[in-house]
Amino acid sequence: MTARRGRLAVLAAVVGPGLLAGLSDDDPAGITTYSVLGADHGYRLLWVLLLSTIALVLFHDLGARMGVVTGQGLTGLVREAYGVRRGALAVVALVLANLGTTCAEFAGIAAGFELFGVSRYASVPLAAAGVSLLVVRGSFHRVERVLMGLSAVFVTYVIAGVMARPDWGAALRGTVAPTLPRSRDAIAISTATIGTTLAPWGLSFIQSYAADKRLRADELRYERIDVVMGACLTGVIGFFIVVACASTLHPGGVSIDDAADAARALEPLAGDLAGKLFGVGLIGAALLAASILPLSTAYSVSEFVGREAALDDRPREAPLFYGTYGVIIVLGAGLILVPGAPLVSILVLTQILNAVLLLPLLAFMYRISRNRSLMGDHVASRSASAGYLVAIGFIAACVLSLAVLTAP
Amino acid sequence: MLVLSDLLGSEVRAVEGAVVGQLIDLTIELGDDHPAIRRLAVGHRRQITAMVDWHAVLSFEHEAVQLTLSSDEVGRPGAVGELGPRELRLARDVLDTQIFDIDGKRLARVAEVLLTRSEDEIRVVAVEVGAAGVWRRLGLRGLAGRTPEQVVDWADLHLTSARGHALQLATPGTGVHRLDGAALAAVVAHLSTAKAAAVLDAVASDVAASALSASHPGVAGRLLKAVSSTTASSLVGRMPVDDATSVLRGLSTEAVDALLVGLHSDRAATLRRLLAHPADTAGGLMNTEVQTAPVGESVGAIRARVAAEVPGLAGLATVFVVDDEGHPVGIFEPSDLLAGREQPRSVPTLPASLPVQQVIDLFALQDHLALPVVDTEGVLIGAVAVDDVLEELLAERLPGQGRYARMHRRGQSLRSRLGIRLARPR
Repeated sequence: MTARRGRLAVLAAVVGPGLLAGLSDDDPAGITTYSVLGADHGYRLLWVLLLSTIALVLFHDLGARMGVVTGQGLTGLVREAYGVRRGALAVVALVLANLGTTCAEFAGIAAGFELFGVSRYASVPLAAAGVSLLVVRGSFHRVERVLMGLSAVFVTYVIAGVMARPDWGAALRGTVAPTLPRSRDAIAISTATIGTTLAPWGLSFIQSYAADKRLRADELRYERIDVVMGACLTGVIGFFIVVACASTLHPGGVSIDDAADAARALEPLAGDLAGKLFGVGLIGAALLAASILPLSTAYSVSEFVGREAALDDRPREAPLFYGTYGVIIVLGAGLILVPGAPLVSILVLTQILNAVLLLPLLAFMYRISRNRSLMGDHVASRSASAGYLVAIGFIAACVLSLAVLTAP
Repeated sequence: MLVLSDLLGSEVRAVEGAVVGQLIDLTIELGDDHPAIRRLAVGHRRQITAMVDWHAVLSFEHEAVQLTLSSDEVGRPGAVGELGPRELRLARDVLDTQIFDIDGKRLARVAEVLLTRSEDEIRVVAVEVGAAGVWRRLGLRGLAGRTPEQVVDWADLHLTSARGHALQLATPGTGVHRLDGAALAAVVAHLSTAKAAAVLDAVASDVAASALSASHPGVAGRLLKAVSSTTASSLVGRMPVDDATSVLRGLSTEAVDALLVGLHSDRAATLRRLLAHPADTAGGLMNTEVQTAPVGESVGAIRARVAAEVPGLAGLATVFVVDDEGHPVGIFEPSDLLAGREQPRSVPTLPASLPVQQVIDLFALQDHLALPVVDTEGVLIGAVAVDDVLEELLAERLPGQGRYARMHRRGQSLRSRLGIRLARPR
């Protein structure tokens, strides 16, 4: 009994990065992408979500292991292993992907507030300024629990999905029996599903966070539980979003053009309040992710360049750290304020960009996982390496197919 | 001044002028503050085909390195060889790896290795860290010119690459071997747990124990779990009891029992007594190793005794005067002893159960270095000194806070925000 309590205490102390990174995948971009997947394609492409979730488990586990074994974040480790030029390639890919995802978070804030009749020209600048002040002044903890509570609204998709009386047989077939997407739209949304589930920022975040926690190698088995829990939560919520949209929106041929369309999938549960419930969740999840993402990006850039920087530093001492933070916030919010910017398209397209930029990052992770001088006894086994290669091949196939179908 | 990245890739020529390869790396032998280049790694692409001794170098320029050896001698079997026991490759083990900047107390990544030429040798003098060197190597010279250069002396860094870290720990007189406890606390807080544990194993036990005392209790607890049980018990045995208690409070009951088994029984009993007091009380803050004097002992006799026992004296050299039943009747502070004050000062006593906030308030209101802590019978059982109060107030600023934890300056972590109960340090 005592030994069991001891193991539980270790697990509780280790839990964190995996669960948080997994939960953060259910951000506005994730919700919208999964909603479009279900509304436009019914249950047919649920297998893409299943494979993305498996890839999420594989690479988040690898990221946490790399962080614990080397004590370094992804960008710094790539520079150490492969030199400054390839390190620069990794950091540029990560910054571009994170900029796109930050943009998506602000699109979520704009869409959420528009459900309450608040203009994006008021909500987005205020949110950007508010989030920056809270994080930089160290007051983030005051609102974090509120934001998590608001974003937990999306757990209601599980109930909404069940209440919508879905065709469970079709859902099961769609999950385990792959049907190849043939149209450009189907491949695009499949690619976006991969890009939002296995987001580049999540990979770098989980590695940095695991390194930060200074876990011991013998605690890795507990870290694995954390990673699997987080990834499964992402997969389960994503599954029910697709199921809810496939059973409520898809039969009527409703496409998602704005947040109000996506909110209709919650009508079986919330009735007329669906729009407001969806809006509240969107705002909470977006603010939460918009708080962590620019900070995570600034850490990654500092880590690549060299001087460790953090919120304790003054801007004059860490210009690159605060500069990166500022650029990501200003550009991410600014692009949403371009008149007529289509929010749903931005939410989905940035996730396709994520999938494209994942490829170099995953290739670096694969090579590092096989590098015995860096990973020591935790070097990837043959079976794990094969799993990584299959996942990378799957993502590359989606991206290449999309490129071929999109080329003029 | 030479920079390593400019030299790498230079052609290496044999004495007859034939190109035998490119310069892939340079090696040094750890030991000196600014070690000399010992060998050249020569080869093609990234494959080393020969390790050439520095004495075989005729001239060493950016464009080409001229050797005194023939092509046959450079290419003879066995020319590659193993690295010596203290030999380090600069490009592989230093360039682009993380170092700990001992003066700046933070991790940095090496953008350039700086070398200097003196007579017939080349020595490593420093490394450049920060953005300027990175921009220069990426070809962004304009940007590099506008970015301040940051340099760390070779003698003031600890390498974190696998070989660099291991060699520095094995080489007396380098990096961490010269640090005191407080400086070492900053180093171990920044390293991965395995490397930090190796540092504690490599330095003198007193310095390692002092480093743990100066660390955040959470960091110290993590490291105690990572070193061998014998080392852990030895370190706890050498730490001041109040610091050791703070660290033990963050560990599980099983871990504490395992550590205390290896200690002298008196020491273990003292720690168990202290652990019985809740962390947020005067009893939880106190140190039991205090200096006492019976009522009536002359100031001269006390002064002589204190002077003889100062090392290891807790409570900032305050002497507590107690009556026959052990009740405190006053204190002598060091200035009182120096001035020859005849009667002890009257001071408030702190019940062991007094909440820590009230202890802090008392220290803020009264000008004393230490105050006595008493049990329910009013008997002296220890003392809280002003440094204990400062540590309590500044606990979150001790080395060891992760970057993401800094989003929550009050020590609240993202994990606790998820409602998950954690085993946390006090």
